Amino acid sequence: MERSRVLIVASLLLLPLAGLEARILWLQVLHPGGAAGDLVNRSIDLAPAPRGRILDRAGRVLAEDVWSFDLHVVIEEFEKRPSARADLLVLLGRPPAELDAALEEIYRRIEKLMSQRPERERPKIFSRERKTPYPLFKSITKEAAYAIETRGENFPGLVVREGLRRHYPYRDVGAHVVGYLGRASGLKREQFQELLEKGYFSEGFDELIGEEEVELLARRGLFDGTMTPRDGVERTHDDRLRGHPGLIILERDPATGKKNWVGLAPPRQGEDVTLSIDIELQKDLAAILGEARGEDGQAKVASAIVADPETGAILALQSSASFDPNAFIPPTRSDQVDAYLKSPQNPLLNRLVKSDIVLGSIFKIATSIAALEKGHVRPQDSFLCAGRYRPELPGTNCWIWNKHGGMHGEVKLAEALEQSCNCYFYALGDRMPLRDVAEWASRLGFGERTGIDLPAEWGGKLPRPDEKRYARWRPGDSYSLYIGQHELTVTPVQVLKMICAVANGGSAVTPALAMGGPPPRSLGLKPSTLATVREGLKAVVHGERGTAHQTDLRNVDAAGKTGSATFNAREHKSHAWFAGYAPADKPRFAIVVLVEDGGSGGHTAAPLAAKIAARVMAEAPPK
Amino acid sequence: MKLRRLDWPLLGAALLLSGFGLYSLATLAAPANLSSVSVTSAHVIKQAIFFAASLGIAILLLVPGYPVTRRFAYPLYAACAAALVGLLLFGPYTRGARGWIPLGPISLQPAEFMKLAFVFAIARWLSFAKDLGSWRALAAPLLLAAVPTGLVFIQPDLGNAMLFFPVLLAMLFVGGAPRRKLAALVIVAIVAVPFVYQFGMKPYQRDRLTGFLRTEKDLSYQQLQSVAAVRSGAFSGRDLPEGFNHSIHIPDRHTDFVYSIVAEELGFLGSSAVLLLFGIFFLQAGRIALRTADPYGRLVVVGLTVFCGLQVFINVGMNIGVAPITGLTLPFVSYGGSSLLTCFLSLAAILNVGVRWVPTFSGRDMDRGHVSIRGFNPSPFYWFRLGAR
Repeated sequence: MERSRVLIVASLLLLPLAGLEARILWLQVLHPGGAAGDLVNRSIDLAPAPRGRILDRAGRVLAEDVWSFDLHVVIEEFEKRPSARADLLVLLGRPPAELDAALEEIYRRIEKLMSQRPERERPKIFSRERKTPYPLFKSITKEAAYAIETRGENFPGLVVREGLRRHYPYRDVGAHVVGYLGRASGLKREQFQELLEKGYFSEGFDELIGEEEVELLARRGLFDGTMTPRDGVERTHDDRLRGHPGLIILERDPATGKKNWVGLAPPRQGEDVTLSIDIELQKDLAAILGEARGEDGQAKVASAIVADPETGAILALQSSASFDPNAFIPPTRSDQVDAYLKSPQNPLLNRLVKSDIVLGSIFKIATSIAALEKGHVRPQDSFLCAGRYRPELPGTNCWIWNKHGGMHGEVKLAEALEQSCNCYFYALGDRMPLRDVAEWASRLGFGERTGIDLPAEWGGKLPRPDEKRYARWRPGDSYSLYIGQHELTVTPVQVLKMICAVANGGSAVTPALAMGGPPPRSLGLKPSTLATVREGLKAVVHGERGTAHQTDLRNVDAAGKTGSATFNAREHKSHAWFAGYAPADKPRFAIVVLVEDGGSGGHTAAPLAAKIAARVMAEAPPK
Repeated sequence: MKLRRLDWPLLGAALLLSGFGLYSLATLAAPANLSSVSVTSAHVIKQAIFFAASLGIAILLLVPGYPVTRRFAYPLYAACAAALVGLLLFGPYTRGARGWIPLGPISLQPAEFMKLAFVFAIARWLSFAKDLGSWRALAAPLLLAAVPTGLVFIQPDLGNAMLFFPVLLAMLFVGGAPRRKLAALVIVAIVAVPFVYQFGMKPYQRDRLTGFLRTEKDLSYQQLQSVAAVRSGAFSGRDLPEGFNHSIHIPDRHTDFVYSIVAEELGFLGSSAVLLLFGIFFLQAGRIALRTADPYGRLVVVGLTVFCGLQVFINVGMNIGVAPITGLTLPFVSYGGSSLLTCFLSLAAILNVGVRWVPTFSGRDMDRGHVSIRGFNPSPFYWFRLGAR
């Protein structure tokens, strides 16, 4: 019995062999490859996936991917025919030096690839890479692309691929909001490795072609050209925006130049992201800020934010020191990028979320709220401003004394805000512990990030006297803090967050660009507190002695607070601030204006705010 | 031991297959062949050394009689199982799996050695088993198979893990287990497959396993490339015109996809020759199994040959697009030290049984009067008369 069973097992082993033999007969004899159309050189490549668009609130496009024709070259085939060079240069109309530089770049990449592998593999890598298409020029003309595609035999080794190019139609308007992209090869080595390991470039490829092949693609620099987000919404909402490239096998017949694709994985387009930005307002804001002049008559860097105080949704966020994000998209305009990097205005810095800047008198709003909430003062209480608060401390003079040798006399809280009386707040400070001010400043959002969806936000600095390093806190330091000087530094979005809270009836909002941010959170302010502060802010604009009364702002139904934040006491230099809202009674817009080195807030920031407020109010019909 | 009793066709087939392996490696390492740039002449030299060493070890192992393996079958099995457990606990990850123990310039794959130990252990158990008719009697061999299957599956090495059960079935069958019981086991296995597929496998494993079932256009990249390479070989091998390169890049070509090199370089003639050599291998092994009087020896030959055969079917099948990608090597041909050494150890065991076919005059063969002594027929064509007694 066992012998017959051995025979059965043996035949079970031989039968499949016959099946396999039949299959190779079918493959190799009956349907052999290697015939004219079947013999091709293959290389694996990425199929580009469009990145999602960035849209403004009306659906206008702020950033989009446009298709372009990119020229790739197979070095070996290209160099084989001597006339190919001249033909290509005539067709593209480019100088020979540019072609030389591009070819040299390809050779540099091949050498880099070889240097990563053991010596004995290098000759093979060299010959393989010379037979592989490498990107030569981006965005060639349609005519040139058609010529190369239709007469492939005249342009050996040239391959036209459709590529994508990020385009920002509004250029420097809203550049800090939208941000920009850069090639992955421009990243730091560790960052690149991290993205590679996370599968940022090759998500899902492992399963298709194996881990080893993905590593090879990475070594060959296939992912170097992937556009990675660098700043703005492009970066914070990259997860939604980015497309997932597909994989293809590119087949080429070197004899005829004919090409064919085999798709392995289809590319997936990224999602669109809609922002709360109103690009028309943003444009007008850019024009208004571009005219900013300091008290000395010089052009200054002015920045402003307009937002909806109820939700924190940002309608416009612009700085006069801006840049054109298109300059960063390959082919990079390197002279322009260099100019940005060298400019003393530092246009690449989004100062609205990253600046670390003194706030000045606008902080008096926070001091007032703290004093009223903690019950240290009543709205009807008044103090006497004699121009100098404590003569033995020269830093405690009121601004009116320093400027005009005058004094404010008896002032109540609303009047103190109106006239920005320093002495009132010094007196207030003497009545309450510093920690109460610090507590409310913190609750209003100072000293911590607002959580706006822009990258690398700065949290500012709020001195907390109970911290150890303030052990040598002197009384003068407290006085400085009550009026927003000293070590307190802020970003304009933090100021926006505070002014939104005043405007919307006491809710902390999260400033946000992409619609649908976290809901506002009530701070639990007393109605009387809000009423007093808002009365003061309205008087700043409309009151006889208001610090912003001498400007066009009084013609607009607005309220706000000016600030002149001294940053260089010796030369009497200060930043001009204005933070306010309109209309004064039912605010629908919150506005923050900052003119760096602008001098007095009332003289330089408030007029800009007037223009901005007039612009937003003109469009929005009064309710 | 008499040298003339050695099964020369079997040895010859194995040597020729190894020759095909070295030839493929050499073509792959040639400077003009760009389909796998990381394979260089260093690989050829390394493999040649492995080949010489494995052959030497195999010849030396013909000297002691194979019954030695019966004596040490269980300790050997325990050692291999311990190595597999240790690998899972402390082993380093090599390309996503914990299957290799690095030892300086080489690395060992315990799963390969487990195959031998498994066959010895099962053969020993079956050759002493009194009655295979009850489930209780079958429990021990099933357990012996379940341990390596599980340990290798967890590594994860799906390909090697799924070999143990079919080999067990073949050995039980030859060992005399009742057909009904075996049929029941097969049915249980078939029912279990969808569950393992659904709950025990990672998505990429599932994809690989079912990839070949799709239409030709949807084959996985590796298989697409491999099939293209096989087809380009046509009848007598690929003849590349000027300007073309071997750009059919196949990852792991020198290990898992070595058959596609033979098929591409030597065409239908070469790929058929490899299948023919395996056919000779199976026939000769079958002859030895038939002729030996010792049930232990027969079971060892059957077990090792079935291991080898399954690997051939799956590997060749995946190279020509009719079997899933499982990472199984082609015996004697694929690059890799552990794999080659295991193949030659198996060969040594089979040849050893063939050399010592003299009956032991014990066990059930005696009872059934199957003991017969016949001389060795040196004609190279005698394998046509398989089973003629």
